[in-house]
Amino acid sequence: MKKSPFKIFLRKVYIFLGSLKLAVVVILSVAVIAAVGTIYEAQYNAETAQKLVYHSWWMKGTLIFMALNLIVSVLHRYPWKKKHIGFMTVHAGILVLMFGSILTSRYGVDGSLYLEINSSNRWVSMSDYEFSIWLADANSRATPFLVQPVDFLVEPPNIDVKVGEDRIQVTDFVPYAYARTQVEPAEGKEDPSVMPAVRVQLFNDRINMTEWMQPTKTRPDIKALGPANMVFANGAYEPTKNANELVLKTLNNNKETLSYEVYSKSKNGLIKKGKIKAGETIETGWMNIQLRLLSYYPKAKIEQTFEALKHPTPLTTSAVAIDYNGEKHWLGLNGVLKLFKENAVYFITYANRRLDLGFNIDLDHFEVGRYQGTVRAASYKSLVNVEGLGQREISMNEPLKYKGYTFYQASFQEDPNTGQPTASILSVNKDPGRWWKYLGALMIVIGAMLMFYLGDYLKKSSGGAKS
Amino acid sequence: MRWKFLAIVLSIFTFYPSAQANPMEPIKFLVVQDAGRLKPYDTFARESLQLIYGRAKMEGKEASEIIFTWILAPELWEEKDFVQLKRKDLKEALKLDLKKDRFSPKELIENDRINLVMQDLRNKVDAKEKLDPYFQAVQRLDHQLGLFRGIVAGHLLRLVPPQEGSSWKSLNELDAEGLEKFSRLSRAFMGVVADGGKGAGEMSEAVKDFKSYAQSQNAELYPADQLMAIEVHYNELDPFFWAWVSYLLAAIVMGASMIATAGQKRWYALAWIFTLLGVAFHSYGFGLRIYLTGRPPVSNMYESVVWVSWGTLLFGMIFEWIYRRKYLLLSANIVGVICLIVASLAPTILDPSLQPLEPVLRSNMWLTIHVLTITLSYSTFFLALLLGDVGLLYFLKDGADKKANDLAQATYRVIQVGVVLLFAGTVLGGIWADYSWGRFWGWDPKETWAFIAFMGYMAILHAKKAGYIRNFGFLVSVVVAFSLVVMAWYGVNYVLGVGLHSYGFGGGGIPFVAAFIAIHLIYIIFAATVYRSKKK
Repeated sequence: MKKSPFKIFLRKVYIFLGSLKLAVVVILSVAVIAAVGTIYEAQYNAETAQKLVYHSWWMKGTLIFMALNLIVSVLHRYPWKKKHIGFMTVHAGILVLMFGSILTSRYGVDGSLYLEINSSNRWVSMSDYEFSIWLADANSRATPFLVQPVDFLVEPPNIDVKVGEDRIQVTDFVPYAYARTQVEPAEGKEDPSVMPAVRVQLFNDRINMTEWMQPTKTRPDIKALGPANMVFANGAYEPTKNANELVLKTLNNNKETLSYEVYSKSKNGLIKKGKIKAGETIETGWMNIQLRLLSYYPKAKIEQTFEALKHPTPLTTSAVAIDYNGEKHWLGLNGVLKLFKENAVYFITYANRRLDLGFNIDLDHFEVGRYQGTVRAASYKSLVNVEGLGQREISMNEPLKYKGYTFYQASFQEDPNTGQPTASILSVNKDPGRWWKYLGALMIVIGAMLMFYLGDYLKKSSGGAKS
Repeated sequence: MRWKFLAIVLSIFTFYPSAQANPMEPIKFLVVQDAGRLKPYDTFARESLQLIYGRAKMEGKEASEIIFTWILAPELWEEKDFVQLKRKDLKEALKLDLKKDRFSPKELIENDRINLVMQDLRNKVDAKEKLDPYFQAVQRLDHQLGLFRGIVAGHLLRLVPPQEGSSWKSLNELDAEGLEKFSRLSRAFMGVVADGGKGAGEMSEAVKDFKSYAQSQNAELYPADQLMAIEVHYNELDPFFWAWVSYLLAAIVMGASMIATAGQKRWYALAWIFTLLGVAFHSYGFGLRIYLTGRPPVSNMYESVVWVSWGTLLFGMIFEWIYRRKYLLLSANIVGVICLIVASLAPTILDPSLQPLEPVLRSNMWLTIHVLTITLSYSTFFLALLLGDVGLLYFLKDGADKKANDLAQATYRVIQVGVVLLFAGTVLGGIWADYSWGRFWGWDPKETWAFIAFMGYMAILHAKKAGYIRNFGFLVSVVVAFSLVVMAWYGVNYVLGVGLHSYGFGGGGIPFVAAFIAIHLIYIIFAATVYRSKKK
């Protein structure tokens, strides 16, 4: 009986799908795509390589062919004999490994938890992004009216929202942007974000730092400098008890001069006060540190602008340009943009998605061990207090497991001026595919050994079947 | 217990060669705290001279002596051309004499452009930008000058343990007693310079005196004499040098045994003896490094080159023992020679100093298993590369005869071991990463290239199985595939220079490695052309 051409075609496809030819092509394709990925990573960064290469449709499509090839090549050998055992174990192992990887990427959690010393957090920062717009009315009640997962690197932005007469548009996305703080005098502008601003420099023979400071309507701007605080207040300020504090205050109806007060913890209070103008320098009285007032604007607007770079550096971040009723604003990743209208404010965020752990974690203590006589870190550990579990220690290579999550000591942040750690960064992980991946890997290793070293023996004992 | 036993065995060797011949000898054993660990002054001096001058010896004098004279008479050195600077565009930027490779500290420091160049470097570093080879050279120059200044000023020579804390006291932090002991040491040193033989006794007394003073400051922090002695011994013996010399002899003798018409058996046995001798030196050097650092020595490029060649010898010997094919042991010995020569000739690229580990690497067991397994697979692929080279010669000479096909079969066996090790090692790395920071696979360039290399060899094995390539094509592919290993092993760290595995990073050597690969590619193109025309 003659087979129909369609059946012959199907048969041919089936044979091709299980063929060594396809295997070689698929293996080489995966290798080439992966190599391209590493070049992307060297040129740009890991995230770009992942999004544009490793997780691209090219890679996924090739891997689908690989899976088909594996399945069909196993089926080709039916009825299975003893001599196939090595082959079967290896190739089924690869499928199990791929299955585990799919579970991980679909249902796993891989984020990081930022814990400042002596404070708590329950929000894990994930690697995917969200764009949101909130509206806060005069009573500071904020309501979200847009929360949207976004991935601008893969899909360029197309957000265009109209609220009444206002129009908010995302017009541009810059993957590698260098942030600059721009301060402009804003005489006459009536905008709640227009406040006094100063640029100060603190220096001695070891430290030298320059900062812009600007208070808000209700709160002074406080910068922690290790053992001391630098404060800039609009008008009155109540100094913190038992602290080293350097306070700059605006004076009523004086557009040139500020008053300053220096408080010392060891000397129980005020040690110095006076007036300062832009360009003047004063001795603070701590560790020979001097303060120079570089500039003072009684009315200023601080805004961030972003300069697009071709390649990322560790200081670049991604940013979006937002058009608000024809006005252009920049918003950096994990920043907040406030857009003012009469009696209300829009809060716009572009940030890593946050995942609620469902319990708080406090960082009670953080320790860095150093190699003798150097500042090179040898080890670090966090002493955390987990809600519902109590105090536990997390250190490098000694993670903590709780409620399905695993917490690893990933890194820490230190104050660039004092070298003291200020925060610990944990990576938070949940991996439902873990044991599948391990099982698959084990099958591959055992199967390969069976194939390579017991192949002849198995062939003989399965009754001399043709190879 | 085992360590103690090893220490005793070693100490027998150790004190033997420290003959009284060199009256400067005792000074080497002073303890210095530097770069996060305690080391003998000898090591400190060698490393410093290596960085500044480019060699561990100068004008026939040992580093320990040279460095000491920097401290005693810095003015003699200020105007001497000894700071190595080879990079042409940097010399141009500083308007220096392009013909010279070494410059005086004075010339460099007083150079009116150096501040600008250094400021450029600092801007780059502050902006955390990747440094290109030009700026790597600027950074090296910065380190060289900083190191010279630091040694001359005394603050880098930390010789005395503190009563409190962990940072040792440098020369200019010494108390009156310490200063007095040090000046006795200096006088003794001058005595030896003036009149070698006579000053020797006082020199050894002065060193002893200084050491007991240092120890009295904080005995707990002061290391055992023996540890320093073993490190000096390691520096002086240079076991890897003797290892490659033995391998070279073994390779020559094995070559002779393959060509010789008579006495083949005797040549063959002699080749084995030289191989074993080389392996003994190799293993001894390795053992010393492990003992000194207290960790498996595979945390940087230098150590991995040494380890990979050791692995190749191991597999070469195992396969030779089973198959008795001569070319197996020959190939392994050639790999040993290549790797160890490269390791000893390129100390600026492959840093031979003993370094403390990055925090994430401090769980020794996982590091050991993961890295050792992966690098052992490189050993097998390196062996396969040489087998490919030799095998192609066979094909060129006599065509696809039994001998050539037999060699291809042996290579196939070697590759099988390699792919299992590479896969297992990569997975173990995944398990380690999973255990340390919760990520089994993250497409990090190092792991990605290990994966690419694995896929490369997999493609070869499948293609051979399918009959797309025969033995000749197989050997050609094996030679080509080794470039993937080179990329995974060297390229990721030195060419791509990114990723989480950045703790092993360095720069330089690209032209040499590229030439190594290019020569192989030319060789296979030549072989393929000749083989084809022969077949017709």
